[in-house]
Amino acid sequence: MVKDKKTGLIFILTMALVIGSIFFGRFPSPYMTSLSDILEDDLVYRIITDIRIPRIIMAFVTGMVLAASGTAFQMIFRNPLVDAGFLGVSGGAAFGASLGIVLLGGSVAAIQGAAALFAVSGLALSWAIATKIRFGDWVLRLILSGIAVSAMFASGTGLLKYLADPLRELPELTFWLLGGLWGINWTDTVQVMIICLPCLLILFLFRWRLNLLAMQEETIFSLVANASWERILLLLTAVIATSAVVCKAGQIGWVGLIIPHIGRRLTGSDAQKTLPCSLMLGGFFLLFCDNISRTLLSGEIPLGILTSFIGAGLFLVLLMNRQLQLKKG
Amino acid sequence: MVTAVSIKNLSFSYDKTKTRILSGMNIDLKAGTVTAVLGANGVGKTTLLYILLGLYTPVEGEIRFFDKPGTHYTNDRIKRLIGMVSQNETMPFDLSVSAYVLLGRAPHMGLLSMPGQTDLTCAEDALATVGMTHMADMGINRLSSGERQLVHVARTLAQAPDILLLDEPCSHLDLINSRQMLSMMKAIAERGRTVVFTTHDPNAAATVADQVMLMKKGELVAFGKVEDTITSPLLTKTYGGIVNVTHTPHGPFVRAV
Repeated sequence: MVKDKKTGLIFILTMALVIGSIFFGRFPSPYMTSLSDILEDDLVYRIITDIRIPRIIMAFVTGMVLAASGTAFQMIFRNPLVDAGFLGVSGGAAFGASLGIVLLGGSVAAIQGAAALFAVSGLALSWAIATKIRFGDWVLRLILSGIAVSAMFASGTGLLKYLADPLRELPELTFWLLGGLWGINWTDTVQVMIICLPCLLILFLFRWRLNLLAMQEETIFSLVANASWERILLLLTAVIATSAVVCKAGQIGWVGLIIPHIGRRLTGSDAQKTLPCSLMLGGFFLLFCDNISRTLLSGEIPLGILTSFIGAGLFLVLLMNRQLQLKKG
Repeated sequence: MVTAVSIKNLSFSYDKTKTRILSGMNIDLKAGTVTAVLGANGVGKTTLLYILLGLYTPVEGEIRFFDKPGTHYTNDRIKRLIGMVSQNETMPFDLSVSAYVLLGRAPHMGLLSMPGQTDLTCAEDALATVGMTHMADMGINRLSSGERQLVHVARTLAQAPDILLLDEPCSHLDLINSRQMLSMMKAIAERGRTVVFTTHDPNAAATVADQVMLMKKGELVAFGKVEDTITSPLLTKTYGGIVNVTHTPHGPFVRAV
């Protein structure tokens, strides 16, 4: 009951932040926008409805996707240190976006299209290589091949940075790699939601079964009739959703790693409870960081910098705080 | 009595070109009995359990469950037919004991179902059977290895299979808990379930088993009742070292010389 109350409280806080975020901004005056400004000034009203609200939704969905995917990856790979960066997905997206900026003209379609294409290619390559490895169970093989594929994509991204025009392409490339939600509009948000909401629904519906997939291979075999099918479905779902948000928002680190940890601290390790909690926390965390990103300074702070800084700080607090005992679930 | 497991001419190797891990095995296990599988390290005891579970496919021979071939059962049905506790099972996430035991109900639930009241009741009963109700809210990774072993058995009891495969169930247990585990296996069999367990302790086998399988290098040395199999000549042949069996009023007592 206490745990349900915690999730309920997180839900209320998250909704309060979502609504409050409408009033955070730098126009017409820094930090806060009053209700009278929104109602009386047509320009402010249009900024809120055409720019701020789609960005808020985008931030929230991105946070939910990264947290849910992180939870799914950690459970399926039986490793609490895994996130969507594994399997070459993030590395592939970064390489694709770099390719789009440096060699394909740098249009939005080229960047996002190439990012999505190479994110999925990262998974396909990791999968194909894992089938050729002749030792270890399939989880270990996938993790090893994912690390190798990510390193190859990182190398390619490095080469493209080296080749990029230092005045025109390199700043754009660097900013994309640091992640951010500047320039997000309703079209972007709707596109992402069309892909991500069904994916989130699938992960939510399978949340109890994630516990089963975290068991030892022989035990899974004795309990689950089609474990390989379920794994493939959930991994693909997590990868597709991650690719969809990464190709719009760029590289945003630590959310998929830290949020499931906080979720487990609050609700226990049972994914039936952790996943809904992580969804809320992920949305809250990314929206909170994005509010700082767009509000704190007159210029945009790349979102990836904030998520890494705050995420790593939270991670250290979690590791060192003796009051926060690991909860079972 | 119904034959729960019938193994005919079973052979297995990991690679068809390599040495057979198991060869030419023929046994019938009656429903509601306890069978102990004894043998030295690496003779194929665990492999045999994995073949019964369906994890490994034999290269020759046939396995029948309740007079029907394994292929007769659907993938879903077979998960309700056979349950297994492996050696040294691990769970990387610290689920509570009750949440963990509940996972045993998976074969009885729909793909997108959440555990219902029936599942909760079955899990509670299973925990009560192994005497771990008082630890239902504890994190599974905080338990001692012996307690964890009991919880794994409870998970398999919650699964309610007709055939239970236990790979060295007493290996982490102290004297009293080991005795409790053996009694529990007997009680489970008395309720009509078929129990097959591997062990390195012939005394444990002698205490609880209705029949004993002695294995050496993938082959069956002997299969039969305790009094016919727990003997000095057969155990000496099985283990490759001198084994003495002393007959006492409480049954045979085995020690290596």
